Order: sequence, then structure tokens, then C-alpha cells
Amino acid sequence: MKKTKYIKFLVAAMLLGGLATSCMDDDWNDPTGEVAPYGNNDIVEDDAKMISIKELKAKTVDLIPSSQANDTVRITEDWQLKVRVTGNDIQGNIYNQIAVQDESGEGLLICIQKGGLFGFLPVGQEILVNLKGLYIGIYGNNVQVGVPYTNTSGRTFPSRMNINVWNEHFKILGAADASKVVPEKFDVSKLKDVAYVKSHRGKLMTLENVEMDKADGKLAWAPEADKDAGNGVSRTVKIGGKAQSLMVVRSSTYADFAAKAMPTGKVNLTGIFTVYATNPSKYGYTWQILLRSDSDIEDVK
Amino acid sequence: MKQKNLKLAVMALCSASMAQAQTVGTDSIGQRGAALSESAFTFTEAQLGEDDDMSQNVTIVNSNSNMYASEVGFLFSPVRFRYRAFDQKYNDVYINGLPMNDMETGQFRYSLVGGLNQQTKNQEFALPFETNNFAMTGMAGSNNYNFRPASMPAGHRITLSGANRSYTLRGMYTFNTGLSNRGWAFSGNLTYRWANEGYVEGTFYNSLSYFLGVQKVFGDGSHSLSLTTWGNPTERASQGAGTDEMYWMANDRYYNPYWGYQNGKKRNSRVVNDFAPTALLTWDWKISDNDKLTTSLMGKYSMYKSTKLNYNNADNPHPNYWKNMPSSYFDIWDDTNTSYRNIDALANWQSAYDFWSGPKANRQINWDQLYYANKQASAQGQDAMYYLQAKHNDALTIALASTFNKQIDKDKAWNIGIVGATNKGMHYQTMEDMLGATTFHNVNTYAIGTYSPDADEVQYDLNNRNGLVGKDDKFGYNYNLLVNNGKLWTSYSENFGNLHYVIAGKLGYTSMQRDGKMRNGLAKDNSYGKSHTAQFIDGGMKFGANVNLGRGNTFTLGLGYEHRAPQAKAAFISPEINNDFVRNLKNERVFSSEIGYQFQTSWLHANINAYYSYLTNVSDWQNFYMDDVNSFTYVSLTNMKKAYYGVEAGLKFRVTSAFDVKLVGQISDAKILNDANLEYMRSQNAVVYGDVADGLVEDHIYNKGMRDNGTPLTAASLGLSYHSGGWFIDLNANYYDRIYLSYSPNYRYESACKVRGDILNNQPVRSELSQAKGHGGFMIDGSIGRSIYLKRGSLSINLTVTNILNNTNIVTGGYEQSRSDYSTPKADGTATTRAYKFSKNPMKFYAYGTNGLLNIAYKF
Repeated sequence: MKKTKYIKFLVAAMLLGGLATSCMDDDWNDPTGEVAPYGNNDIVEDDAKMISIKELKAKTVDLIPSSQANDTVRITEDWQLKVRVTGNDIQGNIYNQIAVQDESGEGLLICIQKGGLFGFLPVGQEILVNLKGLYIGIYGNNVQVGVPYTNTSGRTFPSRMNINVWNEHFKILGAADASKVVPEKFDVSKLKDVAYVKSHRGKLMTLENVEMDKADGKLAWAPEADKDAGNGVSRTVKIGGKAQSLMVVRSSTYADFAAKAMPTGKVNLTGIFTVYATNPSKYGYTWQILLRSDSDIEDVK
Repeated sequence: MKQKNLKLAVMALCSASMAQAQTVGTDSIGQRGAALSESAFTFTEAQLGEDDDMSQNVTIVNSNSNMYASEVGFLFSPVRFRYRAFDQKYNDVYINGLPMNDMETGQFRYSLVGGLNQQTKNQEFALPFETNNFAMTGMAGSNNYNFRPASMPAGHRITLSGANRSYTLRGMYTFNTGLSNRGWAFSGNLTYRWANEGYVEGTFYNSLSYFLGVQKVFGDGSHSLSLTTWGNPTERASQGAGTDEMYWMANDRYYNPYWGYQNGKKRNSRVVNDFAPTALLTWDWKISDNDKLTTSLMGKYSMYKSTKLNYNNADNPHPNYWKNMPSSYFDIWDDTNTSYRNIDALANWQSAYDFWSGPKANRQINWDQLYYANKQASAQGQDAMYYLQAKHNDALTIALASTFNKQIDKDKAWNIGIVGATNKGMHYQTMEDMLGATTFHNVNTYAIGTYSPDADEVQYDLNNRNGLVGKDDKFGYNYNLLVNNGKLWTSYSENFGNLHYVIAGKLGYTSMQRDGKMRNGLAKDNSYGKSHTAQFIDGGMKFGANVNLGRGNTFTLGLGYEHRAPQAKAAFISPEINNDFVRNLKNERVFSSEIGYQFQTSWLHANINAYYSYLTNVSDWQNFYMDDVNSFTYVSLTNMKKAYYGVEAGLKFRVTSAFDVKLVGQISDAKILNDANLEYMRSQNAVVYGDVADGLVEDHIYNKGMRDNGTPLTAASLGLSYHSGGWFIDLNANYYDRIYLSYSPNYRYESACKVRGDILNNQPVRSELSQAKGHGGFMIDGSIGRSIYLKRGSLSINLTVTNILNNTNIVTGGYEQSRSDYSTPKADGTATTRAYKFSKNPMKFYAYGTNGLLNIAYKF
């Protein structure tokens, strides 16, 4: 009898224990996300500080001698940019960079040391950038904002800034609106026009009605076997049925579509148009299209 | 006559401890004071192992005869000491004579009996060359817990404890009836261990343990049936290792990168849920006074789940990701590195340092950012960038063991046993939490890029292409491992004048098979369905002897040789992908030996032992993410030769009847003697690297000289012990050194050595390949306890304080980072060095600073 009592007691204790040991790892509620958890929300938009990309370039990189393919200057003025994101790393082709444009119609690359930038800098996202303290310059003939990096050959150029620096310098403005980002049609007639190069490098554009040279339904955009020192592969574009060596699609071997076969038919190619030149006065500039994703390749019907 | 029979019966029942009784008389040094034993070991499941689902860092060792072995298990537990540095799989744990080590890993899971301190007190133990009546003793010793209700001390016991360790509160209630006149015994236990936050920040602990047993003795006492069932449902949050740079910046040796604030509360990304309900039916048949048959049938269903924050198409979001470290910007090691040692690099260093060492939230997971990014990704039609995945290791185990013990005459005993067991291990990964994202697909993102996104190869399951993964859905991998095991063993022991010896042998059969539940695109034809069955016959012999030379002098000798089937866990090259067995999979060959000397008088008990073990055909398996190649890699090492050797000594000096001085120490080595055969596979393309002779893409490993890690190879202790008038006071000064960290195989690949220039004249420069070590040091532990006999029942109060001087410089273990100091090699084999040096930044765990446990037990 006494034992039955103890057994009952123990069973009751176990039941109580079972009830007490509820789960400690809660069902977590989503954070509200009312305030963007990226960037510096203390930045205040100030018209007096506002500068356009075009003005910025005029006051900085345009003063760098044209012979300099790589150089950098520190921005000491308290300038602000209000720009919209046009390109990011959504498929791993653009790496540690975003491309932005503003109402002046010019584009710029911002170098940030972080993967997954598209998670907070999607295409169409408007941002405010405090430029003071950052660097602007030329890397491989492209205008970039970042921090200086000196390579083993002793050349200094703007390179990716660490995410803490970037977080201090930008502010997310409202929700992204991709419809506000419309690629400009590339003007093939100005392919070799230096002024066109200078005003359009870094912009989101579309090159219409072209083919990929050597595309055979198998050759991929950027297979590991074809990569160069920059872990990239450049594929020549055929314009008007002819291979145009000054127009390439440059893709990273890390891009999601790296192993995807190039299309054999006519396509419209949208991407961030960057330039490359070893000796521009002699050979001119080569346009390099950076596709943001494989949906930037549009079959022409 | 009757009396003689009774004596024999008692002898038969106690035959486990006969050898010890023969040699050491009445000195019961293995029995700790009642108050002290309550505290058990200072670790709990939360601290065990870097592969945290296994209690790989614990050896349960104890002895009645050997002063050293009786002390070290408990004494050195704050640094997770392993007896002779042996892998835990050599320490065989039994319950009621039935082997309980996990059938895939070979290791006993300590969590199986977590919280059952009162039940596990009731055990027999045998050192490697000692006799016992339940098995051929393992190389790291064997223990047999007695879970029979009639063997548990009758009465109630309530224990309440407070601690600042993995848990902060513990309550325990135990009730045993003892054997009633009608032949019934009942036993029950309930333990609850809890911490809202344990010693390490961001870790919680929530564990219930239950034990229920009933036993009926019938047939005039010749038969007994006992049925026990127990379990330990536990939910706990984990601690991650850090580099010294992190610990320095966080100003905290217990910095834990696994948690972060979400809605103002600390959320841990690595939560383990562990529950293995077990039932055990034991039939004891006393055939005659000298013959006994014990048969146990066990069924167990274990469920283990461990969550982890993972990412897709993004950087590693853990705050301890190397790119967040200041030293990833400024080369603090090499003053000739002009790229990473200039004013700009220094500015970056400062900015990273200021951020990371600033407000605490900066160095913890930023859940808000992860949710925000996932929502943005969803709006762009992308899969979750960040998510919590859960690794599951479930298993159904059924085992039957039967042991016959025969006391031939007063000097001779014979045991024979048979064991049969089957295990179905279920291994799969599920989606725990999408962190605000709306979609995720069952696609191998590591392979995308190498293969086109529409290629078969990027599918984790071709039977369900691009499968949409929702909460709790399986993805990535899903397979079962089927292991069957049969064993026959016997032992014979005899007293021959002043010689006592035991000879034991065993013969076993193991089969193993994988059954894939997904058709992996990288292995279309050999991933879905069953693999072929690998079969192994193994066995061995053991001999142990001691000679009593009189006047307290005893010599001991032990010799053993066995073949051990490989563990299923290490048998497949990449079980998450395909059905292929590792090449060169063979029985491990194990030679073990020991000599010892014991001296015992009324005032001194001293032991010294030297041991040597030599193992060949040793295999090892690891998998880890290697972001050099942005891919998982599965590494098999086979055909290794290993040696374990050392000297152990223990001395107890009785100063007065109440006051003892104890000295315990060991110096040992445990290392690999040759370069292993290498075979590794990457999840990005399923290419297998290794020996050209095996048709693989050539690579080799230089791991000769690597040592077993996570245990001090040098340890010593001086202890003072005062036990009188119900008081127990112990004070120990312990010294630990030569604590190695787990070596990184890929740092020692020939391919990696070549890039670094660590190969000269086709020979590796071994000095460049030395293994990372942790800091040792002194630790002072003490305990004070008092037993009080009350009118009704007794009360014992005990306070144990570990690391009284708060030495936070002692490393308990860790691992070298599996990444290279250079960026992806170019076609010509050269590579650019990074600012960050993975090779100089091993991940470490430090022993807890001052920590204590206050325990109050009331028995009535």
C-alpha cells in the first residue's frame, strides 16, 4: 500500500517534470524590420552636401591624368550622393561591388568587401552615401569608390572597403523599386568614342541584337579551364555578324551561370558596362559587359 | 556444506572484483565519499567533443586497485582528460552485461545516462588487463552498469544542486524499494537540470532524466526478470570555439560566436535536441550456486538533432568569420608583406577592431540583418540566403547479450558470452527555420558554377528535381546506415599460488551497408538505394596476470592483440553523397601491453604502470567545409600506424587515519607513425583525390607525427585529503601540459605544401607541418563536504570548487582551421598569400575559470 503511494508520487512527479520541461528554444518571431538593420540610419539627407555622380567625377577622377589607369584620391569634402543600385552580386558574377546610377545619368562602382550584397542592396534600392573619408579613383579604367589598396607592383587603386566602413557611410532610403532602373540602349556607333566611354562606363545598358562568338551550344560563359588570372573569362561579342574584339562579355568562374552554355542565336545583353584597356591611346577601350544574372540574356525573337 | 555453497555463491556474484580483492585486500580507494560522488564529473553533454554529438572526450575509468586509475577520471575531468589518450571507442560500456557503445562510431554516448548519477554509481569496472565477468576488457577499460532495481539502495533520496557550469540548477529524486519479501523491487528516478544561461554566454540547458525499473525474483530466487526504461530528453545550446584574436578582442575566453540578439533576446543558432529512450529486459538465472546465466535484451530509439546557421549565395554570417577579423586586413605576422602592411591596411585593421571589440552585439550573430536580407531575397525571387538547418542522427538499436559465468572451483572461473545487435542509423538534414525567407530548393549550390544550374549534377535528389524545401523538410542528404554485429567471447581466470591470471578471447562479425534515400546528381547511379554489404570478421586475445610477492609487492603484466572491424561512421568516403566505401578499408590491428608494480602497506599505496600500444590499419574520417574551394570536403585517412605509450604513477600516503596525501601523474604520447593513405572528395564536383595507384587525382598527406588531441599528454596532481567525523575536505593542485589541437588534414596535403613551398627535394619540410598546441598550466580544485545523520535519514552537503585560482589560460582542446593562407592557386601553381594566416589562428576552447557546484542530498 505504502509502495503504491510512492509509485503514484513518482509518476506524478514525472508528469510534473514533463510539464515543467517545456521547450526553451522558442518559436522566434520575425524581427519587425521597420528600421533597416544595415547602414547608418543617423545619416541625414542634406541638399547643401548633395553632389551628382557626374559632378563627383568632374571634381575628382577627371583631374587625374588620362595616362593613369589606376589611381585614387581621398574625398575630403562633405559630399552626399543619392543613387540607385543598378547591379549587384545576385548570381555571384559581380563580386564585392555594386553599380549605382543617379539622375545625372552616369554610373559608378562601389567596392564593398562582403558577399550577398543583393540581400540589402537590391536593384532599385535608393541609398544615400556620405562620401567624406572614402576614396575615389580609377581601377582598370573604371571609376570606383572604395578604400586604397596597393598591390605588389606598388600601384594604388580604390578597392573594396570593409563592411564596417561601408555601414558607416550609407543609408537605405525606403523600399527598393526595380522599375525605377531602366537600362540605357548601348549606342554601337559610339563604340570607340572616348567621350562616350568616359560618360558611360559603369552604367547599366543593353546591347541589342548581337551574337556570342564561338557559341556552339556547349561552350560555357566561364568554365574553370578557360579562366585568366582574375578568375574570369572574356567572351567576344559578334555585332552585325562580325566578332568585335572591343566588346566582350566578362564572367566570373564563380558566377552561377559560369557553366551554362552561351546562347547560339541573337540576343539582347543587359549588364554593367565596364571598360578595360592596356593602352587606350593605341588600342582603344574594350567594353566588358558584366551580366548581373542569366536573366540579363534575352533571346531575340 | 551449506555454508560453503553460500560462500561460493557470494564469490560467483562478486567474481568481477575477485582479481582486485586478491591483490589489494580491503583498500577501497575507488570508492569516493558519498558526498563527493554526487558531483560526478564536471562536464555535461554540452562540453563533449568538437563533433558535439559524440562524447569523444570522455573515458569512464575507475579502479579499486590502481591508485592512478581510481583518481584520474574525476580529477582531470575539467580538461576532458582521456585515459591513455585513447579514443573513447576503446572504452567499452555495458549495462547489465549488454554492450551500449554506439554501433556506428563505437563510442559510448554519455548523454544516454545523463542525469542518472544514482543509477550509474552502481557499476563494475575493469582496467584494460583486469578480469571481469561481462566481457573481454577493452583497451581503455570496460564498465558494466548494474541497472537492476533490486541492486539499488532502498530508500528515498532528494538532491538539490546549484552550479555555474553548463547547468545552474539540478534537482534529483530517487526512490528504490529494495527487494521485497514477495520478490519485487521497484526503482525510479527523476532528474531535472536547467540553466537559462550556463557558464558560457548564450547557452541554455534544459534536461529531464527519468528512470523506471521493476524486478521480480521468482523460482526460489533462482530467476529474476528486470525491466528498466530510461531516457534523458535534453535541449541545449552550444558553445563555439574561437581564435586567440577573438578572445583578446572580446576580452572573454568563453566568447561564444553562436548566439545573437533577436527581439532583444539571446538566440543561439546551435541547439541540440537529444533523446534516446531505452528499454532493457534482463533475465538472471542462477542455474546453480556456481553457474549463472545473464541475458539482456535492449531496444533503443535515439533521436539527435543539431541545428546550425548556414548560408547560400552570401558570406558566412557568423561573427567569427575570418573576414571580420582585423588581422584579415593587416598582416600581423609578416613585416615584409607590403600589400597588407601599410597605412591603408592599418586603417582597415583599426576599423575592424573598433567594430568587433565595441558593443557586444557587434561580435554576435545579427539576426535582424539575416531576416532583412532573406526578405529582400524573397522579393527578388531568390532562395533563402541564411537559414537554420538541422542535422539528424537517429538510430534504432536492438541488442541481445547472454553471458554464462561458471565458478569452476574456488580458484578458477570461466565466462562465455554471446552478443548480437542490429542498428539502423538514420542520417538526414532538415530545414529548421527559413528566417523570414519564402523559398528554398533542394539544390547543391556548391556545384552550381562548376555545373550549369540546369544540370543533373546540381540536384541533391534527382527523384525530386528542384524540390521545394519548407520547414522540417529533408534536404541535402538522407541515408541510412545498417550495421549488424555478432560477437562471441570467453574468459578464464585462475589463482595459481600467488599468481593470478586471466586469459580472454573474442570473435566477431560485423556487416555494414548504406541505404540512400536521395539520388544525388553527382552520383546518379550509386547514391539511391542500397550499397553492397561490407563484412568483417574480427577477434582478439588478451592475457593479464599479477604476482603477489608478499609484503605488499605486486607485479602486473598485460598483453593483448586484436583485429577490430572499422567503424561504419568512417567506412564510406562521402556517405552524404554516395554509396562508395573507403578504399583500403581493413580491420584495425591492435597490440596492447602493460607492466605494472604495486606497493601497498598500511600507510602507503603506490602504483606505477607503463603501457605500450601499437595500432596498424587505423582509419579516420572527417568532413568539413573548406572555403578555399567553396565546397564541403570528405576526407578518409587509412592505413595509419599509431603508437600510444606512457608511464602512469599514483601514490597515496596515509599521514594519519584521517589525512592522506596523494600524488598522481602521467606522461604519455599518442601519435601517428606514418603518412596515411589519403582519399578525399569535394561536394562541388565529386572528384576524388588520393593515390594515383587507386585511379584518383593525385594527392598525398603528410600527417606523420600528428598526435591525438584534446587531452593533456602530461598531467600531474598533488592532493590533500581529510576525511573525519563526517567531514570531507579535498584540495588538489593539478598540472596539465602538451595539449594538442586537432590537426587539419588539408594543411598537410602535398598539393597545399607545394603551393606554400613546404616541399624540398620531393620531401615535405616537417618542421613547417608541426601540429598546433594549446596552453597548459596549473589548476587548483577543492571540495568540502559534511555528512550529517538525522533522526530520520541523513543529509550530506558538499561544495566543489574547480579552478579556485581562476586560471583561464588552460586549453582543453580545439582545432586547426581547415583553410589555406593563400588565395586560390593560379594555373602555374603559385598563389597570393592572404593577410590572414589560418595556420597561426587555431580555434581553441579554454577550461572554465572558477566554477563550483553546491550539492545537498537528503536520504530517508
